[in-house]
Amino acid sequence: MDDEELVERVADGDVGAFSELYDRHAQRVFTWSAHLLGPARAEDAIQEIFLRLWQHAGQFDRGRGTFVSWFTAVVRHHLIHELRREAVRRRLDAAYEIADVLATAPSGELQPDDAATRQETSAAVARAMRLLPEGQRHVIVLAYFAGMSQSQIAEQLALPLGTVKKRVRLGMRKLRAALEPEAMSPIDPAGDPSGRAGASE
Amino acid sequence: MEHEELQERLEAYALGALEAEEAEAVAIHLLACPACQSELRSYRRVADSLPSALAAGSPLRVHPSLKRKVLAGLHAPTPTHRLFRATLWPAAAALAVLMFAGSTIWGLHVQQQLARVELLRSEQLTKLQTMLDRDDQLRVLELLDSSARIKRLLKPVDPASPTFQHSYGKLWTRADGDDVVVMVNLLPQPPPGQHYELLVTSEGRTIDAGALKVDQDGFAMLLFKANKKGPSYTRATVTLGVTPILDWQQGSS
Repeated sequence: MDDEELVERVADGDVGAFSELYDRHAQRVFTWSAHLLGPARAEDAIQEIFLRLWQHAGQFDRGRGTFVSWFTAVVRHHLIHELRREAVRRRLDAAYEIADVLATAPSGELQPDDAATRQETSAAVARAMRLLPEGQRHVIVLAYFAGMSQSQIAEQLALPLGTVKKRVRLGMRKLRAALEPEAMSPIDPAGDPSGRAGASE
Repeated sequence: MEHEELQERLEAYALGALEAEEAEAVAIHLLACPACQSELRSYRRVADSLPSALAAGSPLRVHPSLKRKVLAGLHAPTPTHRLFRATLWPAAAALAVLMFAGSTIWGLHVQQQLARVELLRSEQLTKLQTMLDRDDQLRVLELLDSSARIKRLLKPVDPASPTFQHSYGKLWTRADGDDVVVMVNLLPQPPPGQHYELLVTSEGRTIDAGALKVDQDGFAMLLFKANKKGPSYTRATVTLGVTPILDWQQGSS
C-alpha cells in the first residue's frame, strides 16, 4: 500500500495505517529534527509532528501531489518554527553539522522502508550533494534546513548577495541534473554530471 | 518582472530562500505560467529529497520506544476528518489558494509561504476559479502582477489594541487602470449587527468603497473600480461601525 492510500486511511482514523506511516517516515523526520534541535527536543518534535499528521490527514489531497511532498512541507514548517527560537549561532552550527553529514553521506544506506523510487531519488541527491562544491552545499543547507533567506545567508557568510544567489542556482541545478534518468542509476561519481560540475562554481 | 528573471528565482523559491517581496512576485507569476510550475516541481523534488539524503548519512537513529509515546498521544479519530474532506474541501482549498497568494502578498515569512505553496498545484487553479468568477480572477491577478501597481499598507489605528493589534491590510491600485483590490487579514468577526467597511479618500472626498466580509480565518477581500484610471487616494480606512480600525494615509508609508 502506498503512502497516499495510508494517509487517506489515517484520515478515517485508521491507527494501523498511521503506525505504518510512522514506521516509514519516523527515521527521516527524527534525523532531521535531531540535527536541528538536538536529540532531546527532537523527540518532542516527532510527537508533535506525527500528532499533527493524525489530526490533519484529511487535508491531504493526492490530486495536489505526493504524501512525501505534503508531509515534508509540514515537517519543515514545524522545525523551522522551532529552530527560530535558537540563537543564530546555534542555527549556523546545526546547518554546518548537516552540511558535514551530507558531504560524507553514503548514498546507499537509506531507511529500508523507503519506497524504491524514493530511495533511488534520495540516493541520487545524496550523491550529488556530496559532490557539490562546499560553498554551494552550504548555501543550500542554510536555506533549506536552517530556514535562512539568501540575504540572511549573505550576511552571515559575509558574501555578496549575488554570490549566494549564484551558488543556490548552480547547486540546485546540479542536484536536479542528478535526478535525470541517465544520472539516476549508476553509483559512479566520475560519470555523474553533478560530479563533473562539482569541480568549480 | 520578466519571465526569465522570475524563472531564475525558482531554485531559491523551492528552498524557501527568497525574501517576501521576491516570493510574492514568483508566486503570482506561477499562477499563470505552466512552464514555471513544471520547473518548480522539479526543484521541489530535489528539496523534498534532502531530508532523506541527510538520514542516509547520519548516525542518529530514532529510539523504538518513541513510537509508543507517539501512539499513546493520539486521540480518538474525529469523524470531521472525512466530513471535512468530502464537503468542505473545495471551499477550503480555494480559500487556501487565495490565502496563499494573499499570504505572500502580506509578506508573511518565507517558511510559511513554503508550507502554503505546497497547496499550489496547477489543479488548484480550477478551485481558485470557483471562488472568483473568471473576470474578477483575471482582474485581481493582472493588478497584482502589474508593473504599474501601487501598494499601500493599512496598519492598526491603535497598535496596542488587544483585538486588532495583529490585523493588517493592503490596498492595490494601478497607475494605468481603475481596478482596486483590498485585502485584510486577522480581523475578528464583527459583533452582530456591525460590519467592516472600506473608506477611501481622493481629492478631498471620502467614499464608502464597500463592505468587507470576513471569513472564518479573518480574511476578506474587496475588488472594486475607482472613478478613474490611476486613482490618487490620500487615505484608506477600514472601519467597524464608525470606529476606524485599519488606516493608511499618504505620507505614512
